[in-house]
Amino acid sequence: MQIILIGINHKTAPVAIRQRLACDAARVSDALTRLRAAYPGSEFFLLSTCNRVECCAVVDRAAGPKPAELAKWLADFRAVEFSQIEQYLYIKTDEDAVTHLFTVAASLDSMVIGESQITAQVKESYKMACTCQTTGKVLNRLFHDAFRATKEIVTRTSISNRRVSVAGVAVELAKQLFSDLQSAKVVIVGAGQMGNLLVEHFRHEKCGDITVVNRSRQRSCRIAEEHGVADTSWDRLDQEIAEANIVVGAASAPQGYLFSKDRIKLLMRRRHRILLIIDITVPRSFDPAVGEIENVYLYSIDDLAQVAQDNIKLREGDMELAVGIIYEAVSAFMDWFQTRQVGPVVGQIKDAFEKISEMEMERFFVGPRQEAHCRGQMEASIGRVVNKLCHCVIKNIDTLSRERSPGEAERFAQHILDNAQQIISEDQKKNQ
Amino acid sequence: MLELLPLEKQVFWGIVILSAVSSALAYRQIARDDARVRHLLTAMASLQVTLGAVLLILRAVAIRAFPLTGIFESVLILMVFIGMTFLFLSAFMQQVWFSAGMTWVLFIIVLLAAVVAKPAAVLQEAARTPWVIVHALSMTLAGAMIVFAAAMSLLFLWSRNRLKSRQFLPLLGKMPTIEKLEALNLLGLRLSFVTLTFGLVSGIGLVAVKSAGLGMTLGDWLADSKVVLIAVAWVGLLALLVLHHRLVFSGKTAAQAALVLCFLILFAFIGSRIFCKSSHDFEKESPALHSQVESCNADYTDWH
Repeated sequence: MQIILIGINHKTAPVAIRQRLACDAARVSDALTRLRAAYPGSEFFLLSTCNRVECCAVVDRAAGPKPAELAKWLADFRAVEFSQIEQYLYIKTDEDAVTHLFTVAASLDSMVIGESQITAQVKESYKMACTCQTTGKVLNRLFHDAFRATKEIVTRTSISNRRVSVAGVAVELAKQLFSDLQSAKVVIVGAGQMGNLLVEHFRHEKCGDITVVNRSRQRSCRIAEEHGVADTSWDRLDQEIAEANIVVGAASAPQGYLFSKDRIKLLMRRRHRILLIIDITVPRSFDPAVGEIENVYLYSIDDLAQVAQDNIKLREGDMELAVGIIYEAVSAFMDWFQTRQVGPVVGQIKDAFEKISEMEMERFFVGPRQEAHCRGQMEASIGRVVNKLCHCVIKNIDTLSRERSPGEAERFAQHILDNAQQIISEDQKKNQ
Repeated sequence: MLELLPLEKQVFWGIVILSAVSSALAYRQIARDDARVRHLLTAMASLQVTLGAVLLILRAVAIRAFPLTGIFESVLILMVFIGMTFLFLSAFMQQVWFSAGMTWVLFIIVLLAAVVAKPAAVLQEAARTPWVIVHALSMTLAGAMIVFAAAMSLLFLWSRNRLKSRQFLPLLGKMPTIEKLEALNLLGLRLSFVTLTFGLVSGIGLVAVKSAGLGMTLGDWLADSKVVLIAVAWVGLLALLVLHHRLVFSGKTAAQAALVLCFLILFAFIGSRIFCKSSHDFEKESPALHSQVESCNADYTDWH
C-alpha cells in the first residue's frame, strides 16, 4: 500500500489557479464517488478550501493509480489543462504525505498559523469522505491520529489562542475585562479602515450593541449598514461615551487631544463600570493621563502592536513543540502502517519459496524419474524444509521490526521477496 | 507542632503533602502554561477536602462530640469550605490563575493548621448549648468567605496592576475577567457579612443564656480582644458594603479593604489566642487524649 498526496496551496499557487481546482461540497462528493468507481479498493480524501485543494489516496503500490495519474484525473475532473497546473502541484508519498496532512490539520501550514478554521474544514472533508465510503482502515486511522495530535497541540501549546493582529489583541483585551462581552456597549469613534476592522472583530464576538460615531455621518452610515450596527451623529459623542463599556478611538485629532482627562472624568462621574479605551489613532486622540482614572483602561496602538509582536514570538517558540508533537504522531502512525504492510509481503515470500520448491521438484522428476514412487514423500519433505526456512525468515523479519523499525523490516522482507521472484523468473527463462 | 494522635498525624501529613505537591503543580501550570494540570489540581483539592473531613471525623470520634471547640478544627473546617468553594467554582472558571490562586490559598491554610495542631478538646459543661454549634459554624463560614474574598482581591489587584501598566500578556485567557474577580470579591464579602452576623447574634445568645456559668461578666465580654476584633471587622464589613453600594468605594478600594478585613478576622480567630489574652475559649483539655499524644511523642523521641 502507498499513501499519496497531491495538491496546491496558497504557498505554491496563485489564487487564480487555486480557484480553478477548488470544489464546493457537492463537487467534492461527486469527485469522491467517481474516484471510488474508477479505482476500487483504494481510499480517497479530498480537501478544498480557499487556500488549498488537496487529494489524499491510499492505493495498492503495484496495481493502484500512480501519483501523476491521480493528478491528471483531478485536472480532468475540474476540466483544467494538466500542463497549466503541473508546475504548481506538489506530490508527496508515504511519510511525507502523512506529515503534510498532520501539519495541515494542526493549522501549522496555514496562512495564519494556529487558526482553527482549517481543522474544522479537514474534519468536514473527512466526514464527507466517510459519507461517500471512500475511507478505509488506513485513512480512518490517519485522520483520527491527526485530530488527536491537533488536540494535543492545542492543549500543550498556545499556538491557537494567541492573537497576532492589533484588532485581535484589542478584542482579547476586552474579553479580559468584561465577563459578558456580548452585552457590552461598544462605541467606535471614527469610520476609517482600522475602525471598520474593529467593528468586524467585535461583531465576530457577537457584540450586540455597537455604535459608530463619525464627523461625516455618510461614512459612519456606510459602515453601519455594512456590518448591521448602529450609527449616530457627532453631537451625541459625549452621551455615547458616558454609556459605553468599550470606546475605540479611530478619529484623528491633528490639533491636540480630542479627549482630555477632565472630559473623560466628567463622563465617568457616578459610574462604577469599567471603561476600556482603545486609541488606535496617530497622533493620539486620548490624553495618556486618561489611563490614570480609576476604572479606565487606556491602550494605544503601540501597546497592542507590542503584544501582537510578543504573541508572534511566542507562537514561533511554540512551533518547535508543535512540530515535535507532529513528528511523534507521524512516527507512531508510520510504525502502524508499515507493520500492516509486512503481513502481505511475508505471504508473498512464502508463496515464492513454495514456487521455487515446486519448480525444483518439476526439474528433478523428469524422464525415467517421472514415475518414481517416492515423489509424494519427497514433496512432503521439501515442503517441510521450505516451511522451516520460511519460519526462520519470518522470525528474522519480526525481530528486525521489534528491534529496529517496522519500516526496516518491510524493506528487508521486500528485498527477500524481490530476490525470490528474481530466482523464479530466471528459472522460468531457463526452462523455456 | 503537630501534637496529634498517630492516625490523625498520618492523615494530616497526607493533607500537607498533597497541598505542597498541588502548590508546586500550580506554579508549574503558570510557569509552563500547561493547562492540563488544572484537572489534576481539582482532583487533588477534592482529595484534600476529603482527608480534611476524615480528620474532623477522627477528632469527633476521639472526643465523642461535634469537633468545633479547638482552633485546629476551625482551620480544618475553613480548609474544607474553601476547598469546596474552589471545586464548585472550577466548573465555571477554568482560567489557570484561578485554580493556582485557590491552590495556594489552601496550602497557606494547611500550613496555618500545622502551626495550631493540638489534641482534640471537649467543651466546658457550661458552654454545651445549641448556640455554640450555630456560633462556631457561622464564624468558621465567615472566615472561609473572607479568605475567599481576600484571594479574589489579590487576583483582582494583581490583574488590575498588570492591565493598568500595560503588561497584560501573561493574563490574557488565563485570569478570570476583572469584572468577575470584583463580583466574586463582593460575593465573598457579602456572605462573610451575613455569616458573621449570624455568628455575632448566636454569640450574644450564648452569652445571654450561659454568661454566669462561664464565669464572665458583660465587662469581660466587651473587653475581650477576640470579641472586640470581630465587632470591628463586622462594622468594617458593613461600612465597606454600604459605601460600595453607594458608589463611594471602587473595586480597587473594596479589594484593599477585603484584605485588611481578612487579616483582622483571621487575627481575631487565631492571632488573638496566641498574641492577646482572650477569655473567649471554652474548651477543656481531655486528659486521656493529652496523655496519649504525649506518650506517642515520647516514644518517637526515644526511638530516635
